[in-house]
Amino acid sequence: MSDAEQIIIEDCIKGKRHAQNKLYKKFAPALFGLCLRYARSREEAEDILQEGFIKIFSNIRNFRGEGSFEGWMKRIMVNTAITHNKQTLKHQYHADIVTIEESHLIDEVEQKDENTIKIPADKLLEMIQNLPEGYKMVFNLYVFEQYTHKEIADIIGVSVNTSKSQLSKARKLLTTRIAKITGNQKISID
Amino acid sequence: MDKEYNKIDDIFRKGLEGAAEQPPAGLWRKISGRLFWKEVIRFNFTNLSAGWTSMVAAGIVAGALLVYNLTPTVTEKGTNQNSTGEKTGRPNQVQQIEYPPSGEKVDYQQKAGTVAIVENDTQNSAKNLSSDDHSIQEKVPVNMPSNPLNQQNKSSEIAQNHQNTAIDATKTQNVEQPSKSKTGHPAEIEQTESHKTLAATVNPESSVPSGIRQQPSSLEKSEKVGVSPIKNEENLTTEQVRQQLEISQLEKRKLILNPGKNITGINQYSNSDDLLLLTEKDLMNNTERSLGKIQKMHTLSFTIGKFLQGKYKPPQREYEDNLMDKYRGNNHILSIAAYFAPEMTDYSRMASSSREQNCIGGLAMSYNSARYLLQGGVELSYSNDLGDYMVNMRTFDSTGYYNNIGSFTIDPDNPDSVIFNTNTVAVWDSVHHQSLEQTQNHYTYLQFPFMVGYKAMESGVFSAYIKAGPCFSFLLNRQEPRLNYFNPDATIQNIDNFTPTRLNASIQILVSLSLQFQISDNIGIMVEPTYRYYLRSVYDVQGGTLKNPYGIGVRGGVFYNF
Repeated sequence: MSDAEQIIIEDCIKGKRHAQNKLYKKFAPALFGLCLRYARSREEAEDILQEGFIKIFSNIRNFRGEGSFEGWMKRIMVNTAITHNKQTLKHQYHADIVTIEESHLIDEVEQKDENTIKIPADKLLEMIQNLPEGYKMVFNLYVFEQYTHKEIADIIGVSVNTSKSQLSKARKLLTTRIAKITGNQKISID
Repeated sequence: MDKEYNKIDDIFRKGLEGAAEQPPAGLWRKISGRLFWKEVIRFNFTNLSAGWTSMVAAGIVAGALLVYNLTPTVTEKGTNQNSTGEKTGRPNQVQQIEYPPSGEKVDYQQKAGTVAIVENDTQNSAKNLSSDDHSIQEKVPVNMPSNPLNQQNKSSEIAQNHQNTAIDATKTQNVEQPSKSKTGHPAEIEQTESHKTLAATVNPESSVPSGIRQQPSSLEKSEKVGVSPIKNEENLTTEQVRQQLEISQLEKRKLILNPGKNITGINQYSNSDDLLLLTEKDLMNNTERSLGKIQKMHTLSFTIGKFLQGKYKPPQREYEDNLMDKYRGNNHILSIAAYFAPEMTDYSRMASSSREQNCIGGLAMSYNSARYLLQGGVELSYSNDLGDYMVNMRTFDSTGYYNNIGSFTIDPDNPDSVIFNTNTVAVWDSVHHQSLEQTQNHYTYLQFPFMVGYKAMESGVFSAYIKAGPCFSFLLNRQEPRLNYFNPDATIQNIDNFTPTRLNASIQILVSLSLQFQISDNIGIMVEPTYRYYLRSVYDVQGGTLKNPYGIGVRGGVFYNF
């Protein structure tokens, strides 16, 4: 952690608004990218980001300086996203996997050469966002946050087998969607 | 494609790795606003820095001084009265003037600078006076107990002339100052100082026509200082006289600021009942003393300057008798008050204790009888408290290490020995941990305080009551959110809730010191430090006791006297 970052954190602990603003400006884009993966829309991602930053500023005095500050913030943001998801789950519209509309995904893919197709990041993000909530949560935690199935099971309150099963289904669904876009061509992810 | 299918995780991880997107521009404003309200709700007196505390204290003191200094005094009110003198009990009003019966000697008394005429038979006096066209000069005692201007009045002169109802400065110029009236009237002339007559007022309602004659020596001076010369018109009405004598408030101010300037008339001492003569010196001295004092008193910088010099003295205020009765609390007064009271309450729970802030808003009706007060009211209290949770969890901690043999080789120099290549491997195991976590709970109460008070002190518009009484609280709403604990490095086993249940009702004893400041006859502000002691714990504790909570706070509000 740099000295400048340390000073900003100390000022944030004192409740200085300008320091909080600096911290927000520095980390908000990356954390907003994280929130977008867990949310179904930009608006929901904004809500999660807002809630997460409130938690960060309220609990910043609990950061012990052990490990990455950004990692600590990401964990809080993930936790906020999970909480948000649980709170809004009962109000959500559960789309059946079979009936998920996928036609809108098959556009705007860039063909690099005859055998390689580049999928833009926003398309990948859209695919994740359109996953069913359970799949999305497990896939995000497993792939991006690199939690184990045991940890995921504890966090979202399901069994380990359910976690494994949902990850598998998420992978299958995503593979199907990618296949629809790319056909049998290779995928470039740069 | 089969290969990509196996690497679907990598596709997304690499594709979205480091993905960042600028959040909307207005989001920080929302976060900042929510942080602000969170800080307001979580406001705690103990978190206040010394600098902020002293600044707030200084602001309160400055505000109180400002309000105190800007409050108009009765002295000022008295000088602002109009010439008709409709308001009763005003300080510059002559309380009583009686004329002696004809042939009787005027009995005058001089008491501490005040003079009074005593004449028992006004009609006779008028009759006698009417029989003689000559002016009669008398030493006229004028009783003006509440007028500060009169306190310095060393001499005054009243000339009665039944034929003229107006002041006739021109005429008085030609009148010799007799040592005795030509009619043999026993009136005497006495002048302790050679002051000059400045102003006169007439009594339009008096059956005795009055006039003023001045000493010849006073005329020149009186004209210099601007007494409007009134023509000798015998049929001049008293209203006209009054108009001629009137002077605007602005002119009086000018007189204070520029004593040498002329004024065109004076209405300050005119009223419908009496006839007064004041000397220029008296007017100048007293007007400067009264109005100048008010002007100084109203200057905040002057007050602060004196305060810093250690010479500040609160202004001595004078009140009309009828108002004093109200301030003294001798009347039965019904009043209503609206107030807001932040309180700090000390709670003792099973697992922890904390000091939390309550916000109380309320209305109170008070009945003041002499020095005693009965008060009842209704309050809405928003209380904060903490919820205690014990989290039992296991974390995968390093408990030791061992040397793992990775490979071995035979020593080429010594074929009988083996060389082991080892590496240190940490031993990890799950370790049980406990963590006390807390949540923020909110409770809303409807409260009914009943208090009895005693007026311990009253000084002018300030008064202080000591009050005490019971307060009954009923729980309206509780917000107790469950703990949402997250620790990615731990496996949570269970979470025990140690938050005791809140009772639906409680009784407290309230003791307070109410400091009241009367802004006007009906409206005032109050500051009331309060101590609240709960007669039993607010928690439903089975098989145990907890320390009773107590709180301290400050009520601030306004009240209205009906």
